[in-house]
Amino acid sequence: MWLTFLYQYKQYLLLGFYVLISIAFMIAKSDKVNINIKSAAITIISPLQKVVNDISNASENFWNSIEELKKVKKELIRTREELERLKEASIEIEELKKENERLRYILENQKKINFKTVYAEIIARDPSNYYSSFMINKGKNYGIEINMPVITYQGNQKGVVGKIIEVAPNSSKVLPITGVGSFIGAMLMDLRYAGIIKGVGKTADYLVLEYINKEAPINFGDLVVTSGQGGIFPKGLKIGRIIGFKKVKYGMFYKEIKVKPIIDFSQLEDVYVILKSPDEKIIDFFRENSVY
Amino acid sequence: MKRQLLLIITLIIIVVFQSSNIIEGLKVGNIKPNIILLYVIYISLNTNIIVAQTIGFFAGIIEDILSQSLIGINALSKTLLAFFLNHFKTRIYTEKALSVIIVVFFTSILIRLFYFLLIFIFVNKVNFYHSILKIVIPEAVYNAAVSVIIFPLFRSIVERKRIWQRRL
Repeated sequence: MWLTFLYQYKQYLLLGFYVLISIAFMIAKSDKVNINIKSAAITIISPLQKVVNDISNASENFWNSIEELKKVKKELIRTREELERLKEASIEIEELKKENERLRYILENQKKINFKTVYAEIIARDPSNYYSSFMINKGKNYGIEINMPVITYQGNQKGVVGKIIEVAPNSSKVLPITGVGSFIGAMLMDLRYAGIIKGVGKTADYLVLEYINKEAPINFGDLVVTSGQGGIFPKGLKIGRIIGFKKVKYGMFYKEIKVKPIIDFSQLEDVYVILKSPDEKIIDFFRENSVY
Repeated sequence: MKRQLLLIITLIIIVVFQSSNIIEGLKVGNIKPNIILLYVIYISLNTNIIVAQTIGFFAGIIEDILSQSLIGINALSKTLLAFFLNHFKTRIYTEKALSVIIVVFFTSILIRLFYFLLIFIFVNKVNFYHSILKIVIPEAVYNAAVSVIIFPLFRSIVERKRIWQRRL
């Protein structure tokens, strides 16, 4: 009888089972449970993502090589001198040269940072359209821990990218400053007024700087840097520039300011993780006060 | 059983593809198509309810793991989507491209609204107006457009499997 019942209503029982598991996960909401499960799963999936990323890069390189060859062909026809020169230059040397330049660029950038850093490449992005986290190809094995700051260079500009939120042995997940749930201690570089800068996700292309004194004589284009007060980011890293104001929400005392990030996140390919352990006491303090 | 395994492997490939840099190249504005959701819709319309719910649940849970989102949010929304879509599949004529586009468009909107509702309840406040305008509707339009190309691809995977089973 039970078997008949089970067989008859199996679809509803299965639905109930899946729904219960999903709700249990959501209600548990425990960081440790979530992080442990995610970390274990990422360890399994990240090699697949690396392979896909490598294939993607290889095909992109292949396509670029074809484009490059077309240009070279045109130039060969144009002058004999260039023909002679291009004959000698092989694609392999060209590739080595590019690689050499890239490595030199990375080394120079690492020298400019006062902290020890790990260079990492982005291997995957958040599959959803709401969140904007991304995966990098370095993890615990390189000394990376949760809440370590992530920065990058674009041209000669150094800027804050985000922080580490999950770590697996050979990969980590980064929450960008633009992402939902990102909060950083920030201040106006010239005026020294401190506040908190938060990400608003993909619905906007700016950050919001909160808790800045209403009397602060701010100007468009003012630079916003990290204040070093959140326990994660060192002081003085560039975040962005002021592009506008929002309506005052918190009575008469504070301003809400729109900030355009220094970093163009659509161009982001590689990052540097600063190997600076977070100050747990400060983080706990903010967590208790519901800032993180 | 082998068919279910194939469907799961296909799902894993799709999930890895969805989180890869390749799909970033397909972004229009800030929106990329949600291939995982399209796969769940296709499976819900073309398999039995047990398979549909299972694929829906696992698609959601893997997406939750790879995403910044709380585990369970996508799992719950995609399981329920699979259940209801499969329940009404006999009333949906999926042979015509236009009906597929309409189904995908409205399903994408409904599931995203449910998803944001869950985020609002369990995670943090959501700006619904901006989310609908800048994420929900553009994503639904993109999904509907991509479904015309991707559904035949999914069909070929499933049908190839059926031929292979008959040969055995």
